[in-house]
This record gives sequence, structure tokens and C-alpha cells, in this order.
Amino acid sequence: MMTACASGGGSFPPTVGDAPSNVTRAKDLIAAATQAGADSLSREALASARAHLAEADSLTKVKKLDRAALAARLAAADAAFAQADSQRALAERAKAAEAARLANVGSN
Amino acid sequence: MRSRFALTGALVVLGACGASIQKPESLTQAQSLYQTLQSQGADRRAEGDMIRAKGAIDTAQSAFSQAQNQEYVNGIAAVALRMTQTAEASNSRALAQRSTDSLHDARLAKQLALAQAQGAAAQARADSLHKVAEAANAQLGQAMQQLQSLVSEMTNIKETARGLVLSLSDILFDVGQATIKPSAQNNIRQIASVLKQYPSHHISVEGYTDATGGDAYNLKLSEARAGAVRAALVGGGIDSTIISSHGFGKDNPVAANTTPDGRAANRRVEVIIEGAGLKDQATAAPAAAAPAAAAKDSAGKP
Repeated sequence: MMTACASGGGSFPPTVGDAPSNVTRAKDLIAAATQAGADSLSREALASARAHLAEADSLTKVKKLDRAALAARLAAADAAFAQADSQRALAERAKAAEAARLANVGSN
Repeated sequence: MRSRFALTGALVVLGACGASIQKPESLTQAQSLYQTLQSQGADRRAEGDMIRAKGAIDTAQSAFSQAQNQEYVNGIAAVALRMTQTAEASNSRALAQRSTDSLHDARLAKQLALAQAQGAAAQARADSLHKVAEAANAQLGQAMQQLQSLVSEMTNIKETARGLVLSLSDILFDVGQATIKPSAQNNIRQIASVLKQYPSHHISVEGYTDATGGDAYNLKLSEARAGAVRAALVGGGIDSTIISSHGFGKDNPVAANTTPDGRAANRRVEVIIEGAGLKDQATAAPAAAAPAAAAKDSAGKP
């Protein structure tokens, strides 16, 4: 997607960040998302994060650091979303369980 | 979520491949979603994520406004959308947690109300049983008082291991006779009406004489007097299956036979309400009846 059409050309602005630090941050966030259960609770977003991280690694190897930095930022954003999405799913499950407990009060 | 990703990708490509820098669809989506979240109060529930989403959107909008590299604008807009979606997830999580807390509180309140209702019902049952017990005790107390009053002139009452023993003096009978005096018949019937208060207790009528006269004569006379009292009590309404009579002659004297008063005390008929007591008749009597009867069977007589 990102490399499909680069009509603007040229380098990215400094706001894209530093590729190595962006990659490190993305890895940390992917680990946190995995810890939160994203492998099962937000599988698509976590897969997207890993794909973007792999893309960042590949771009780093060919010295395309601006694009690597942007890919790493996408990986980080995906991972942060995967973690939040997993936590949301767990909260929804807890809510459903509590609703069931409420419904069962007095029925035993 | 899957369809939104697909749509975003397609539109970004179209925008990037246009003649000039085009605003990515993902940026438009991020801005729209952000406004929706803001209107729902997400600023309060997911403050940090909302601030980061706003920063990412502003960065992307700025890059687009400055017509920077289209690839960069597309990428940074995608980041902005993801961060806004993260804020959305955090907001949803906070709402779910709040609902869970409310449900938890409602459950505790419901459990408390249920426990209180059960407690109140149990208390009501206890109160009701207490009143029944009080009424029963009052009734038995009244019966006992009545009994004591009725027989005070001719009997004495004592509580023994066998139960309540009503000792009827020899004024019931003429000398050497086993026929209850007419003047005493009414009192015997009144005693019978009181004994009806103990329908679950066995009643034993036992006759005794003093030591004067022959043993055979005394035994026969005591049996006859006990039988007469039993018959009078049955005539007064006592169930014949729960009342028995026996004569024991001069046995078991309660006083010395050497004086007139002692002999008078020994000439008696005892009515034993087996298992009954002066106190707690309502609860103790049924349980005590069986052991008392068993004791009598094994001992032969008291």
C-alpha cells in the first residue's frame, strides 16, 4: 500500500522519526499486545503489526530508512490498537459474565 | 474492522495515484471517527489515547496541507486512523468496565435484598413459632393450674422420673369399698377433663392400701379401687387405650403404718401421667414418655 504509488517523490519530513528507534518501539508494543492476548483477541491487527515490522526490517536492510521509519510507525500503531482491542474484548467478556451472574442471583 | 481496513487501503491508493496530492480517505475517516468519539465523551474515558489520536490527525492534516510526499501523507494518515481506532477501543473498554461495575453493584444489591427478604421470612417464621409455643405453654400452664386447683383438696402432685404423679387420698372411697363416693365422682371427671390435655401420654392408675388386713384382701381392694378410678376417668373422656390400672396392696408405703395419719397416707390411688412434667410440658413430655414407660416395664412397678 505504502509503496504502491509514490507520486510525491523525494524524502520524508523529519517528523517520520528515526527508523531504529521506531522499530524498537514497535517491537515493544507488539510484545505488549501479545502479552494482552492479541494473538487470539485481535489477530488481524497483530498480524498487520508484524507485517509492517517485517517491512521496516527489510527497508532498513536496503538503507531506505525514511520508509523503514514510516513502516515501523505503522507497526507500532497497529500493535497499540491490537493491545487496546484485546483489552476491550476482555472487558466485554467480563461484562457478559457479570450480567450472567446478576441474572442467576436467586435462581439457585 | 476488516472491511474498514480494505476500504481505507483502496482509497489511499486512489488518492496517491491522482494528479496531485490528495487527501487520504484514512485521514477523513480518522477525523470523522475522532469527532464521533469526542461527542460521546471519550475525552474523559480515554483521555491519553484521544490526545495522541488528535496529535496524529493534526500531523497528517498538516502534511497533507503542505502537500508533502504523498506516500508519507498516506502512511501518516493510516497511523492517525489506527491511533483513533485505538482511542475508540479504549473508550469501549472503559464503557464496558463501567457497565460491569454497575452490574456488579446491581448483583450485590440484589443479593443483599434477597438475603434480607430471606432473613425477614425466617424471622417471621420464628416469631410465628414462638407465638405458637407461648400459646401452648400458656394453655398447659393453665391446665396445670386448673388441675392443681381441682385436686388440691384430695390429692397432692409431685414430679417424678416417671412423670407427674397425682396421689388421690382415701376420701374417694368408703372404708373397705371400691366404689367412688358420689361426692367425689364430679371431681374425678374434672380431673379427666384436665388429663385430656396430655393425649400423647400414657396414664397409669395404681392402687395402694395400708398394712392392716390380709395381703390378698389388700391386693384385691387396691386393684378394685384403681380400676374404679380408671373407669371413672374413661367415663370422663380419657381414651381407654392410653390408660391402665394396677393394684399393689400394701406395697410402696409413703408413710409409716404405725400411726393413723401414716396409714391414711398409704391408702391412696395414684394417677401417673407418664413422661409429663410440671415445667416444659409441651416439649419434654412426648420425648420423656417412652423412656418412662420402658423404665416401668423393666422394673415391674415403681
